[in-house]
Amino acid sequence: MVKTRSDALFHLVLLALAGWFLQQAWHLPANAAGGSLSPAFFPRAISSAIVLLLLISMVRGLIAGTLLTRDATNEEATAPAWVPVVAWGAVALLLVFYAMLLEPLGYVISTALFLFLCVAIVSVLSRQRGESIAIGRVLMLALFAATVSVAIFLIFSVGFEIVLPTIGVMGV
Amino acid sequence: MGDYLEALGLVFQWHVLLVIGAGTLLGLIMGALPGLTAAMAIALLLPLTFGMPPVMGMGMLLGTLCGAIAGGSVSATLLNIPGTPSSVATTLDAFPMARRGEAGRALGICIVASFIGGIFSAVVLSLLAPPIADFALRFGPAEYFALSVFGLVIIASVSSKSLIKGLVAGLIGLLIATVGTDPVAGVQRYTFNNLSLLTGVNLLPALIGLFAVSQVLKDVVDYFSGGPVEHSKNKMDHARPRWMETLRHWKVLASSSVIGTIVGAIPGAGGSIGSFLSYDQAKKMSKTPEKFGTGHPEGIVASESSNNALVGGALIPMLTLGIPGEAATAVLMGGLMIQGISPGPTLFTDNGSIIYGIFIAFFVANIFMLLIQWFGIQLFVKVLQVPRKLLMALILMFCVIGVYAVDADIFNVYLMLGFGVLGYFLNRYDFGTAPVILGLILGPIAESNIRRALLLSGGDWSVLVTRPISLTFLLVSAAFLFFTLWQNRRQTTPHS
Repeated sequence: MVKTRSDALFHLVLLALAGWFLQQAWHLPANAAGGSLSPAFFPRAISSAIVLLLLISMVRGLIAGTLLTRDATNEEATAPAWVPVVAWGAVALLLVFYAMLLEPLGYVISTALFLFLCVAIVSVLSRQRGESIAIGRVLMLALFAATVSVAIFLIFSVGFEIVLPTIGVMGV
Repeated sequence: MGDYLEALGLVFQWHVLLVIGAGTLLGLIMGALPGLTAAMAIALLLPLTFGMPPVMGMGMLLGTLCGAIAGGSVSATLLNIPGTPSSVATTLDAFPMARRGEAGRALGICIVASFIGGIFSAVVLSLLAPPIADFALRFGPAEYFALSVFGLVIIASVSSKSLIKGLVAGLIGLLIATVGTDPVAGVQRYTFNNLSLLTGVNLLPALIGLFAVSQVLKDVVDYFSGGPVEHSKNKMDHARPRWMETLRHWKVLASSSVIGTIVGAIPGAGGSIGSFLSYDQAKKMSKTPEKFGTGHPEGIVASESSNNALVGGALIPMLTLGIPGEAATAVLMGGLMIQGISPGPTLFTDNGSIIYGIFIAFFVANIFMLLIQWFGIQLFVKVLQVPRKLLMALILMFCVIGVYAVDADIFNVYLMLGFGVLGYFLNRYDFGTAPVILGLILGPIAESNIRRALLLSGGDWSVLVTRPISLTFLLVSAAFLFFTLWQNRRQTTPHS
């Protein structure tokens, strides 16, 4: 798996973020009463320190030759190298959609959809070549997703009296 | 004495005991599953403690921590995969014993050794914490600032393979902690007129994002990248506590419990260090050192008693000074703060019954740990057969619901996802996530105390070095920094 090339990229992303925080910190009031520190002091000092340490880390990585080189591929991997990346992206995206739909669709429907799609994505991507998708298993998964979301809803709302989003139809 | 009696009344109520037992059970289940850490288990259960009284909530989380550490021995024994990092040394002898068809015997020794280690550290915690807290009452703003620096330096040094990366992670936590209304002047920083950010970044989404979401995102990648997950072929015989067989090695039990407690109490040292040190010590003390690594009971006793003794040890600096030594206690401390209780010496004077209630709850959690494992070890073995993809989806669902349920603010869910992605990459590129949480917790303490100290001294920075306790913390921090840098350099220099 490629690791260290994106190590350099991650350093750059963190550097950009720290730079942005530093730039924003210049808009904060820099005066303080009674010889104490101003509200801008900590944000400026910390973001500057992050920038400095990241630069040192990058230089050290370059000198050691670890910043831009590739790691060895995983011999035990059962899937092509792109599969984990796609799976990671799909699950992360699914989480964003889950958060977006939680209030409009209510807890039960959005959670059932999330559970079904999350397991389905991982199952489809981990499927061996030529392996077919059995309808029975899809139905089982749908039943599992629906049962779990309703059960958790009841446990949380009745058992712990925690308010979860609903669409107001039959109490769910 | 009055506080202790009041504390007993707080713990010995049927619903409190039930909740501690439930926390222990869930901790054992999560600890048994490889890839689910103790920190993650606590983070996942945090939202459930919101409506609970402090002793009940902390009892549940302590039960989870004890259970998760003990549960790590199940997969260590059956699959040769440590359920938690602290059970790495357990694999050395428990797995070979299981391969001989004696998995039940290995787990039986684990159960007793974990219980004795845990109870020993609970006794030490109850005896040592009050005098340490008493001493820490002398701390002023300068000392608290120096203590925060010390805590951050320690955790940044040990949580990451590179000191610089660990420090960057700690500073990221400190920077995020500056978001919100500034603690002294009331100025808004990085809030962008967002109401949810006015009081700062909520600790719960940060904890769940950094320790649970990031871990599942890693599991998703590992699911495809690693080899096929092996299911245990080891036959399970009767797994009942092996009292006599464990107590026969009382010297190993005693030395490992002491080592575990001491290592746990040193901020940053925890994790697998304590169990490896104990294992090594037991091997040196043994009349049959050549049997270590071949399924020898002494090896299992050493590792398991030590890693459960770590828990009580780690609670000492966390409760008395407000300095968590590693990830799981950092999350535990977050849980305490979410309850509105700040760990530190004043906790002992202001909330005596709560702190003693926590001590008693810790004893009770260890007893539950023994009983649940005694009667339910087969359940944890079955847990290993739950398909990983179902588990990943369920954990993510609990993360989202847990964060949303607290104050019905969807912004916190997005914040958690952001922390999850950040945590994933921080772990992937060896920055570590524990320093971020410590930075988040210690940031406001450090900032408000240094600003108060300078206000009192009229802007004179020498206040940090003229007070002996503050100077000591700063010197130890500097020494630790140099030692870690020297150690990193030695490790990267060939032929050293």
